[in-house]
Amino acid sequence: MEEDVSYEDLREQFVSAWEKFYEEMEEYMEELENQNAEIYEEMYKQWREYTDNISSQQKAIDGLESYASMTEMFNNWVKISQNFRDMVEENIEGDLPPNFKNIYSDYMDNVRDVLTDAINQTLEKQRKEQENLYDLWIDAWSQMAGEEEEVPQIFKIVQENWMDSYSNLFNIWQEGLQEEKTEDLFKKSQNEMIKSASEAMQELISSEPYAQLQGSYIDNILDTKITQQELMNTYLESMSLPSREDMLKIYESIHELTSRVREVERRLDDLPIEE
Amino acid sequence: MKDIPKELGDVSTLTKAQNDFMNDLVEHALDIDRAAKLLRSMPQVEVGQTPSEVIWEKDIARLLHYKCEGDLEDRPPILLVYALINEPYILDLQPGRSVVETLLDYGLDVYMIDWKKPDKRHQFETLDDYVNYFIDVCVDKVRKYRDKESINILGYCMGGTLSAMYAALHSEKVRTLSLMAAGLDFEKDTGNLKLWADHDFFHPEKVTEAFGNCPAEFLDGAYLFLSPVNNTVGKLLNLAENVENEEFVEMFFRMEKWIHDGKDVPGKTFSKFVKDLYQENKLVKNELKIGGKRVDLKNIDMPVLLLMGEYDTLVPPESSESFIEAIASDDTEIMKESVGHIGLSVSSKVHPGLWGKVAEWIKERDEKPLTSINGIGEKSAKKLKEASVKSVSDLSISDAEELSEKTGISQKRIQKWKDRIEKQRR
Repeated sequence: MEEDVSYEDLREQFVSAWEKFYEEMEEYMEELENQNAEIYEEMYKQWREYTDNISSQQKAIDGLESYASMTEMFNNWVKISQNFRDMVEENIEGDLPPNFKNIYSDYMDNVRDVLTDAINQTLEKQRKEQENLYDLWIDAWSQMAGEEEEVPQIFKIVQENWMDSYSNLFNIWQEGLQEEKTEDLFKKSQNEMIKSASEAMQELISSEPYAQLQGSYIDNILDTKITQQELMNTYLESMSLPSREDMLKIYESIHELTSRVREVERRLDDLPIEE
Repeated sequence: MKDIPKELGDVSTLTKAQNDFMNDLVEHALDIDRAAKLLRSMPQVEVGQTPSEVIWEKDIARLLHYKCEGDLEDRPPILLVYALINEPYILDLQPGRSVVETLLDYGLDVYMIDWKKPDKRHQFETLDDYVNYFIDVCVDKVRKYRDKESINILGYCMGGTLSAMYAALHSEKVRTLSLMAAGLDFEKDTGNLKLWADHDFFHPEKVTEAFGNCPAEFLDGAYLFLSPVNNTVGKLLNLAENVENEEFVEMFFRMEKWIHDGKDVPGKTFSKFVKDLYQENKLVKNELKIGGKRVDLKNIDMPVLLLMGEYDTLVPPESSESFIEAIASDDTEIMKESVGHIGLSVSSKVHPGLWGKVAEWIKERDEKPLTSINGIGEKSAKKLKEASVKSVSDLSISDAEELSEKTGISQKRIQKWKDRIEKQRR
């Protein structure tokens, strides 16, 4: 079992980890020459600004305001998704194996349905000043998921539940501050976040849209594996080597033989023992 | 810098709140760090400590017999049929919270089917093999070992579903049937597994086509997602909060060991189980066929006990309860506890209370009635039962003098009954 670390050790580790991260990020940024370089650079600056705001522990309102920079980051993430989608779409027009192409086409069709509206709206809309955190999240959601009526009901409910938790969190803090009972704010905040996350996730995973999404995700993985197996079968057969199909036939024969042996053994067990 | 909104109080309170928050955060971070290190190191823990011996073993099954003191003759035999997933030591997780130990303490003779990990060779093992070969052979071995026509069976989770099928196909060999957290009526199942396994969303034959057997990791992932926040972040925070509590930490890692000790399910069995039960609910519709024979639940006429956890998200109680309406037995009972799926086996709330009751329920039905002893009529039997002597074996081990005081029946008469029991046994 590893030894416990002291507060000083932890702080030291934390600070050096961040310093290392910044260094690595700077090195990384220099190396980036592809089309996303500018976006990453912008994101890096915003992330730096955001973490600086948090770490300097200014007034709570400054902390809340720093969330506004997250919107900009979010826009950039969406743009990366769009680039990725375009890249895959370009490639699947080429000479990929038909099965692979089909799987990816299906997958990208699904992705496109969800993202197209969100991407267009996100890029068209200019970032505006946010009044408070709640509004910012709602705005981010509507940009991501399209017009309100297009949002599947369950995702909307989950999002609203999650938003409520921020409202509850704000109330917890407000109450603690007004009554000058600030000792257990951390514990209360943590419990509220866990409870809300749990309820929101539970609502989501109990819904049909989620079951459908999970099912198609599993199907995609399984189809890919089955296609790989088929390709491998063709290769092994061409090399006159035993393939998975050959092994399955052998396993099936073994099972049939085993079943017969079991039956014979049971009959022998039932025979009366002669003295 | 902006002004602080009025509703947030004055600057000093806000500063204090920030300081308190940061102090708690750092303290908590240290606890989480310790918890995370513990999780990474996975301390060794003992499980399945009740001594047992293997009395039969074949392919992917072995039959365990738990050691007990005293004359086996006084102990009704019970066969525990475990699920095909994870390891059976959840029923014997630690002394004091062991189903096996409690059943032994309450005077039962305990056997368990321990399913071994299948490999690629076993993907063609079917439900027919499990029910009509492995379970049937184990039942026959116990019957022969104990010279009994029928024995008691207790099936857990998927093992409960298999036990119900077995009891319908071989009812003459089953004295009592206890089903613990067993999925039986899947139309009544309100859980997420049932939703995710719906034929519109899930195709079990693709899993077996891709992998042969259903991988343990696939099932683990599904169970983890039944309560995603509590099974990940919640679990770590819980450990962090109790990291100083040795007993808690030990129990936590016993559970962790069990959760990560999964096993694959043979492809043919997995596919048929999901399709015929989760997707088509054939068992309670009396449409299920195994090995060419219809599994007719109307053959289940022995006493049946259903054990369920009120908060079970894996097998919600509703999917067990309605089973009683589908069977022919007129001696049925439901025991429901305020725990989840695993809690039925390991919660301190249910040991020994629930399992003591289960043992008594089985013993009462396993034994010959008290009135089968010459000289004991209904009236005397009633007095004996009021003094907690409910069976012939209870009477045989009772103290005649003490019992006489409790019942008002003469010590001489009681001794005579005890002698008759002894004589019958010889």
